[in-house]
Amino acid sequence: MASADVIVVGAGVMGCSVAYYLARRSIRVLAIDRGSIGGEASSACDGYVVSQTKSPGAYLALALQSADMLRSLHVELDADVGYRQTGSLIVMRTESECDFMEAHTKALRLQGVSAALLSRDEVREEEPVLSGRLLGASLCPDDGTVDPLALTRALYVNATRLGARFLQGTSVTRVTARHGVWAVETSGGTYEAAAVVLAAGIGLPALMPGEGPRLSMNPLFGQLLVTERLPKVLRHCILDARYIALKHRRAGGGEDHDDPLGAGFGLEQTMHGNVLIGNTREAGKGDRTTSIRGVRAIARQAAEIAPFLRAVHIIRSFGGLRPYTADGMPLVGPVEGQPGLFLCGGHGSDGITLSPMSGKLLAEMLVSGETPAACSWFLPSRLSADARGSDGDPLRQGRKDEAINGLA
Amino acid sequence: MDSPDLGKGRPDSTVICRCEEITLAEIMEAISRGARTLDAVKRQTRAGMGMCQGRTCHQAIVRLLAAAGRGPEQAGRPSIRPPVRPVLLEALDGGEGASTE
Amino acid sequence: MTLPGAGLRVAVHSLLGPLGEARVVRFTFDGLEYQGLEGEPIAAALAAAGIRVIRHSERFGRPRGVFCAIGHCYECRVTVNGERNVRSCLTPLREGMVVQSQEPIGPGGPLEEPPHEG
Repeated sequence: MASADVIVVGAGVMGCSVAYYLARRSIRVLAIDRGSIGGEASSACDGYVVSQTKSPGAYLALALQSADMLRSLHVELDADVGYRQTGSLIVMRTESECDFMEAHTKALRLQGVSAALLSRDEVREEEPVLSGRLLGASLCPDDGTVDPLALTRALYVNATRLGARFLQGTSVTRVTARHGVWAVETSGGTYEAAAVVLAAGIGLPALMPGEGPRLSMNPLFGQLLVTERLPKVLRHCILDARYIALKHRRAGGGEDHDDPLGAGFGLEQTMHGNVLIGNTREAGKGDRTTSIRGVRAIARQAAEIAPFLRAVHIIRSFGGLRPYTADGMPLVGPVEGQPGLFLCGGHGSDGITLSPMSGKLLAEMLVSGETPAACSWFLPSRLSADARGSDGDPLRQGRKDEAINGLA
Repeated sequence: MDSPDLGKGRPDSTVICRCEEITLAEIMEAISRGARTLDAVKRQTRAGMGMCQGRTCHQAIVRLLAAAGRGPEQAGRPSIRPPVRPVLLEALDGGEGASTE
Repeated sequence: MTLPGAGLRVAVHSLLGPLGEARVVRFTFDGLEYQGLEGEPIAAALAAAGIRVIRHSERFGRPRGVFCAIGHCYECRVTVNGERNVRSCLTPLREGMVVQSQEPIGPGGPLEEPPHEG
C-alpha cells in the first residue's frame, strides 16, 4: 500500500520546496529527513539573492527566474520570507579586479542585468560604511537578500497545510525499486510510493540505488560570523570581486594556495538586524564545527572592507557543508534508467536562491513526464553520459571551471 | 529528568527566550509541528539566537521538549561555537578589542 | 548635591566586610547627568538614582532592567561610549561615561504588538 504518491528524501530548503510545489498540485507527499527541517546546508548559509556573481548564460537565467519568484513568494506563502531588495555591491580592491569586473558587468548587462560600475566616491555615497580604500564597486539595484530559515520554514509550513506529511529524525537506509513501486527503507520502517525525489544534498550519493548511475558530491564547508543586532547600518548586500575574479581566472580547479580558507568576503544585514559576515570555502571538512582560524580570517577581511565592524560584537559563528556536484551544476530531474526516481540537489552555494525554481521545475517534470531541452544542463542524465564515456569519474575540469559561479 | 510540564497553566504569551522575545506559544507550535531538538526549535523560532545564545532559555526549552516526549538525550545540546561570549570583532582580528566591559 | 541612593548601597558586606571609600564620579544616562561611585556596576549607580527601567525590548517594547545580575542574560544591556550591548550589571562605572538606553531596532518603535495575555 503506497504511503504517498511521492516520497521526498531530505527536508532542507530543496526538499521543502519540492514538497510544497507537489502538494500544490494535490499530490500526496511524504517528506523524510534524518534530522530536522532545514537542519543542514539550508541553515549554514547567508541569504544572498545576487545575479552579479553568476556566470552569464543558462545558470544566470535560472537564478534570475528563481529570484523573481522569491520577490513575491511571501504573498502565496502568506509569510515573510525575509526578501529585501537591498541591491548588491561587488567591491573591488585591486586594478586587476576592476578590469575583470568591467568585462564581467558588460556580459551581465547583455543578459539584462543592470550592473553598473561605481567610482570610489560613488561607492562611499551608496554605502558610507565601506572603506575609503576600495577602488570602486559594481552595483546591481535589483539584487537582494532573503532569510534562509524563514524561507525554508514558510515552504515547509505551507506544504503541510496542503497535506504534505513530514517525518523528522528518520534516516533513510535504502531506496530500491520493488515490483513497480519505490521502497524507501528507513530507521522507522519502509515506505512505498510511485515516485521518489532525492533532495538530500551531500547525502545524495549514498542514497542512489545500487543499479543506478554513480554520483559524487564534494561538500565544501563555509562558515560565517553573526554580529549583535544593530539598527540599520547597511543598505546593500556586499560581496567582493576578488573571489569572482579568482574563480573565473583559474586554469584548473582546486584551492587557492595563498588562501586555503578561501575567505571570500560578504556582508549582509538580515531583517532582524544582525549582520552576517562571510565566508570561508574549505574542502575536506566533515562536520559543522567552526574554527578559530576561519573566524579570524573572516574578521580580518571585515575589518579591512567595512571598518565600522571593528567596534561591533560578534556573538556567534556558524557554518555547514554546501553540496557541490562534480561539474558544479545542480541536479534537477529524472534519473535515467530509473523510472520514478528524481533528484533535486547539489546546488552548491546557490541552493537558497534556486530553491523556488528548482522545486517548481521538478514538480512539473514529475507530473508531466517531460524534460524540456532548456533543462538539459542540469538534468541528472548528463552525469550518466559522462560516466559511460569516461572511466566513471564525471569530473571534467574545463567544464567545471566554465560552470562554477556560485560564490560565498 | 523528572520535570512537570513547564508550560501547563501558563499563558501562551509567556516569554521563554528573553533575548529574542519568543513566546511559549511559538515554541509549542514548533514542537507540535515536529521540532524535536534544541537546534530544531532554534531554527523554527529564533529562540537561542540572541545575545545570550540560549543560556537563559535553553533549560526551559529542554523541559518543554521533555514534556512533549523528547528526553534530554533526544533534545540534544546547544552547539558551542566560537566566540563563547560576545566579543568585539577587532579582538578577533588581532587587535586589542578593548571593550568597555 | 548628595549622592543619590543614600542608604541604598551596602556599606558593610556580610562576607566582604566594609566596602571602603570610593570616588564619586559623574556620568550621563540618556543625556541626563547622574552621580555614582567609581567602580560600582553601572546598573547599581542607575538603581541608586531610582532608575530600574534600563531599556525597552526590541520586539514588544516592554520595560527591561536587571534580570540575572551576573552577566549571563544580557537583559541589562546598555550602550556605553558608543559600544552597544554592554552589561550594566557588571561593568564598572567610570568618570564621564556616556550611557544610553538601547533603542528598539525598528524605525522608531517596537517591532510588534505584544501578544494578548492568556
